[in-house]
Amino acid sequence: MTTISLTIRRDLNTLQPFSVAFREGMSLLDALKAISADDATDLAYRWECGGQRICGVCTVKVNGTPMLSCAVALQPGTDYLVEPLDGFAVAKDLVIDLSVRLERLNKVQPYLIDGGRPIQSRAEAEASKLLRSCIECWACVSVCPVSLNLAPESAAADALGMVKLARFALDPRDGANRAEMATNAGLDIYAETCPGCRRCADVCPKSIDVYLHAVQVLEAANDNA
Amino acid sequence: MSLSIAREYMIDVLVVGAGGAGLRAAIEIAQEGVSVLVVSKELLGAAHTCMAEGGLNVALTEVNPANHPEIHLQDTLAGGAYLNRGSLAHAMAYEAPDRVHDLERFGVIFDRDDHGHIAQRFSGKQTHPHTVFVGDYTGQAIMAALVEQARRLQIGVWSEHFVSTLFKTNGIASGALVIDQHSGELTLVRARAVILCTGGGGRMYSVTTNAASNTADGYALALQIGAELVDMEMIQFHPTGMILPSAMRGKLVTESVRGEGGRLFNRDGERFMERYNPQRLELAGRDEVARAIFSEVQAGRGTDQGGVYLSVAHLPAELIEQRLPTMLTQFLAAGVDIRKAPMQIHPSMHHMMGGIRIDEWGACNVPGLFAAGEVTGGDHGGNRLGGNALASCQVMGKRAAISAAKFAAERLDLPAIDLAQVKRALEILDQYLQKADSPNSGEWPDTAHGVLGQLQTTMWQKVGIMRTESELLAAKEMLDYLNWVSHDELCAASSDPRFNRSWIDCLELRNMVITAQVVVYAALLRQDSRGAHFRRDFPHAMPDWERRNIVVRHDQQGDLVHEIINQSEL
Repeated sequence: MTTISLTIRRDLNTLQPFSVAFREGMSLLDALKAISADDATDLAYRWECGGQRICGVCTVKVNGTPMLSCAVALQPGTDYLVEPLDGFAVAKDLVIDLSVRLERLNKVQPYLIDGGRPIQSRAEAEASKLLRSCIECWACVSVCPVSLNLAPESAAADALGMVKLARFALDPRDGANRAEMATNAGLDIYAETCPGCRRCADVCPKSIDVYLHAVQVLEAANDNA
Repeated sequence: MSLSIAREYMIDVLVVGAGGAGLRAAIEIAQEGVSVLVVSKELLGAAHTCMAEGGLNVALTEVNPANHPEIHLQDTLAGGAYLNRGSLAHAMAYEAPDRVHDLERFGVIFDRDDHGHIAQRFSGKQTHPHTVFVGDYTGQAIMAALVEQARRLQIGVWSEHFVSTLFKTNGIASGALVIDQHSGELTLVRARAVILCTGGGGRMYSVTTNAASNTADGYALALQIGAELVDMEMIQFHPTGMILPSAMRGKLVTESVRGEGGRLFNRDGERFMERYNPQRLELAGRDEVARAIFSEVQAGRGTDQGGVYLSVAHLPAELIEQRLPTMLTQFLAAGVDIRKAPMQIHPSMHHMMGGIRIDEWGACNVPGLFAAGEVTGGDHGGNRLGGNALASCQVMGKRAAISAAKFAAERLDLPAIDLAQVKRALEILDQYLQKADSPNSGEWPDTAHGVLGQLQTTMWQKVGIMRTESELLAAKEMLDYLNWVSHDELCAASSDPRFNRSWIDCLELRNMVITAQVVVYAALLRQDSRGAHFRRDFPHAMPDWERRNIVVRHDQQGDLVHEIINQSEL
């Protein structure tokens, strides 16, 4: 029987090894389910859609890289280190506490604000489509050096906040001045200190590049204002 | 007993569930200035609605003057084998246009056509192209906008909280017992009105397209405070679920694959739908296509993996990339490039047409209890059209909200909840924890995990696409056993209520068994084949069952009793 070796960070100081029987096409999520059914019934982890890559709650750090655990196809012979996402307090095991980051997200008013005009063409509808496909899996925030370095009291937005601001900046129906909001939410910090590592784009299940698709869009909107 | 109530919380309207229906309801209530609390098992935004792919059915007359809500209604009634509650289907068809405009105001941008109008495409059994969509992830786009509105309106949402029990005071719904799944703390929520938007119960089946949280909670919660369920034998099997890899078995392959022109072939390369429905072919009703695929496989014309082929390889690659991006990625991960090669598919349990028997304003026979979305029955009749679930949850979410807000405003007192009822509810929760420290002797599986597999296999094998009395009786016997196990024998893995997934598993399993018993009860009663319910021993639509619905409830002792009603008399 082929087995997969997984090590799970249960808390700061505890790495627990597990061995799981391999099945063809098995995902990391399948392995977590097998472990929690058997070896560690108290293992805390999140899942909902279970493979459709759409609900965004099963994100964990796998060998250092954030991934949707339902989208990780396990390979026999590879060892896996599974940890909670960086940049968040841990509630238990792989379950992160989103409250601080959600509060920060709400500051950018991540919702449509009245005052714009209707969409008039397919091109206008398509302009924000990539950013609208965000499933809020938090992978970008957990790898973005700018987001991770923000002081807790900083008024700046996380990478996800920049994505939301750009999403509404590209929506003609939105009546708010998103470029100005971005400036108040630390756009300069992102423009000036983003090291160009592009890890955000690498880890995003939808391939959103926070610098290219959000920061630069918001800067251009500022220039046009 | 170790469990106790940590606090009481008072609210005008309690909404259970934060999917498409629950959030739509909460948004309406918040806008009316009535206080509302949403309690949700999963993180906000992750409800099963986000897994809806194909789209939302709506007759947008400003886009295409030939569209008309009456056509949407007639398609829905025909698709539902005329078992629909007409007033519900009527509300859905005629109000869907306004609800789609609401969704656009909330933030959704449905895909546009070349003229900048909202584009519409065909789904199964439609006479007009009534389906609006956002790529093949329409449900996710709708959920994102509803979540954005919930944030804008600062609606109170208790995520990762489980509702274990509903209460009545003097016969009127009056609140719920809520478990914080992190801290394990219990809150007694006292409410002037309650709306159940808990979704379906796909997790009763071993092969399903459904999310983890679809554990039939709402049906069981409602039954136990006296609500009536209708059409519970009507289980929709989506014609196209994945087969390979085995870990992905059952995952949804959206109807829009066929809507865009996808074709079904058996192992001999025959486009077999030409035999079953030469007019509508792949876009016949879901019930019909699912049975056709099942029959092909049974007749030995399936693939080696026990399915059939679904191909879009004849379509332009660009169209597949734009219109079916989720499918493209999903199958590439499984080693199949759908631009070049066919998919292998088999039906997968998808939706429950039956549910809480509501009127067109979301009210049921228990005063103060309202419901919307998949947990209800009536609007889809015996078979739901693809695209009508998203339409229904928006229309009925709003309608149930209006009713509940009005009921709450007129109910001047905030009734106390009888302590004896609360104590009984606590005892049920506590028994699973207490037994964790003294599990049984090991003759049967202690934890929910093992028992769940027995339930799922029983439902898939014996209460599936085609049914017979003998199989249903065997299922009933198994469910009686599982009912005993889930009430008296199960235990959590630990007695600590904090982050105790295995404890919640026990409660969900109990809800699924209670609900599955109603499904089998109704499936045995209906000696008829109609809609999604097909009996091999009664393979034709029987005249006696025309427009007849089976209504089931618990009597005082908790035993199932029923009434057969005539839809045309309503």
